[in-house]
Amino acid sequence: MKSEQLFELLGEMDEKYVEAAWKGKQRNPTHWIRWGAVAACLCLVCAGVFYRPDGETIGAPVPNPDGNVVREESPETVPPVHIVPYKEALTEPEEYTAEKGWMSAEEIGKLERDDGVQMGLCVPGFVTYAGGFYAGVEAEEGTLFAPAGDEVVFNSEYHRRVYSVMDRPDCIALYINGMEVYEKAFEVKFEIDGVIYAIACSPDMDADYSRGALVKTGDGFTVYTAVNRQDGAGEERAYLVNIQPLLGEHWPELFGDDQNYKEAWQIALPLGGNAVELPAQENPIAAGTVDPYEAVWGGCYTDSTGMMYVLLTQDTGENRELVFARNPGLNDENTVFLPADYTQAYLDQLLAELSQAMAAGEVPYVTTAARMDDRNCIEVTMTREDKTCVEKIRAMDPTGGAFRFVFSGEYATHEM
Amino acid sequence: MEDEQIVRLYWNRDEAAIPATAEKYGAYCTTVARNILGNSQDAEECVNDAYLQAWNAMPPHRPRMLSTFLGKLTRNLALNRYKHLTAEKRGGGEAAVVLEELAECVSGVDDIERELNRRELLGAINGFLRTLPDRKRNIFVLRYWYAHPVGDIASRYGMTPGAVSMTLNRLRSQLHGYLLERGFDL
Repeated sequence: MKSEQLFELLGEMDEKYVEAAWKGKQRNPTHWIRWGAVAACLCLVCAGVFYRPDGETIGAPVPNPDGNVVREESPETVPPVHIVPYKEALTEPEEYTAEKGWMSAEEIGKLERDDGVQMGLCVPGFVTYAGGFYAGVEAEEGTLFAPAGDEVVFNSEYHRRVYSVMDRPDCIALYINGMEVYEKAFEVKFEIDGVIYAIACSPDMDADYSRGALVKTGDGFTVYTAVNRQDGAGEERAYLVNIQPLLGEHWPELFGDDQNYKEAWQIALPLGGNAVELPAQENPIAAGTVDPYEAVWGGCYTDSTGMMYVLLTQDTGENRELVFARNPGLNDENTVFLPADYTQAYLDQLLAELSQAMAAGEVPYVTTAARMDDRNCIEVTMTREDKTCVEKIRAMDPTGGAFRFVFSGEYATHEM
Repeated sequence: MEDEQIVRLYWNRDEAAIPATAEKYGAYCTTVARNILGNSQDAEECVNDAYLQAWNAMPPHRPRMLSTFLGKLTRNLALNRYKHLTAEKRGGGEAAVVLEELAECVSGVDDIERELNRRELLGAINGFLRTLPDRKRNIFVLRYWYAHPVGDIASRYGMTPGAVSMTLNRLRSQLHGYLLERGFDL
């Protein structure tokens, strides 16, 4: 078959997918540009919300049966976690708003939008909320959810409506982007230096996260650091876990013809009521136990012709093979390798550190910071050229040269 | 105007059907055509041809979904025009890149026998799409149905173009594997 014939055939695909793709995630461009900077700042602020500037952890909120969020008791006197309503960041219209106060999982599973598109399934699951971990969503009357609670920004892409669960103050459920409640029924727990992590919630892993360094292997699963492609690694302190072997062993039916379970990669977050910041020595990159792929991977981007450019800190035949092995679809013909000074993991680490400094108000003139894959650097936009601020940021970069500064007061003011 | 009313205009042979269609779906159809052709003038002509085809098709046809019906007409017309322009060594747009990407999934050999399996193959493609999470499916459809530029998809989903390309790479590879498993060696 020729590619034109395949393209023609794809034109015959089920109309509901064609329509859904067009309607899904439509944004008013002007609107997006206007709010983009605000959202970016907000995300960075959110990254800092869960951690105090002094590095001590903050108690995570526990929703009670009334749908209110209260902070879990903690021996420390710490400020409550702030929840930023999603709509303050982006006023994208909601595709669905719950009208009933309480509804069962089954009811949510049957919801339809105005245009007849079926909503996602809703099943009991394991979810995290602000670093806390809540498992099981069961009640005598069936699985029940409280009225819609707060919407929180986890990253720039997903907003999640949080529901508390009737008769189960230790549980919550999430309704993601007004569309789906993600089921996480696979319990995997593991311990890293005294902190217990568990499988939680992983909406569309491929798009948002890339696999970081190998951390450990368990019975039926492998743990990697999670590198957030969108907003830097600092936003969620998380691990990525491949549970494919576990799924295959315990839930082989998921791999049937029509139920090809795609989410074998899961995010794991710290178990318990407190968000636990990982001590620096736990970072496998810092510790020198680096996955060979991550040790050379400097990021990737495409040009207007679709050619993929892969940046490598050491461009050897062996490393190229490693890239091809990890990224099916890339080959010699469609990939150009370029030299990189910094690995993506290193840049993400810097971005995380800078995000925290921004959230703590330590670098007041910085408006945005982003990883630029095509330039293999972190671009920092500042409203004024402040030497102290610049030096403070440069000090975060032991290798040197990874930050590039853009001073654009007028532009930033206009954007905000 | 509601879709049903517009369709009724076509069925009543009321010429107001065309401006009503243009008002509601003109931008949509133009985007589809321009993505493929990369040229506003050619795209505009395609859209006008699509209106004409819609006029000829209704009646007897009564589309279930007017938007995708018009989109499909426009897409086919744009693809035909793209082939014509390519033969004349003209034309830009995303089509060339999209087709190159899809070439990874096919042998490139024109085989009439395989044409007989078209319906089954389409079923398998829909089966594959069904297995995808909404977001990935939308990204796939935006690229391979709408021929949307990678950059546009990226800004729609707040992703980097690199992440979109990587997702598309994986999806093509998954599609290829999925079809191979079901005996469709394209």
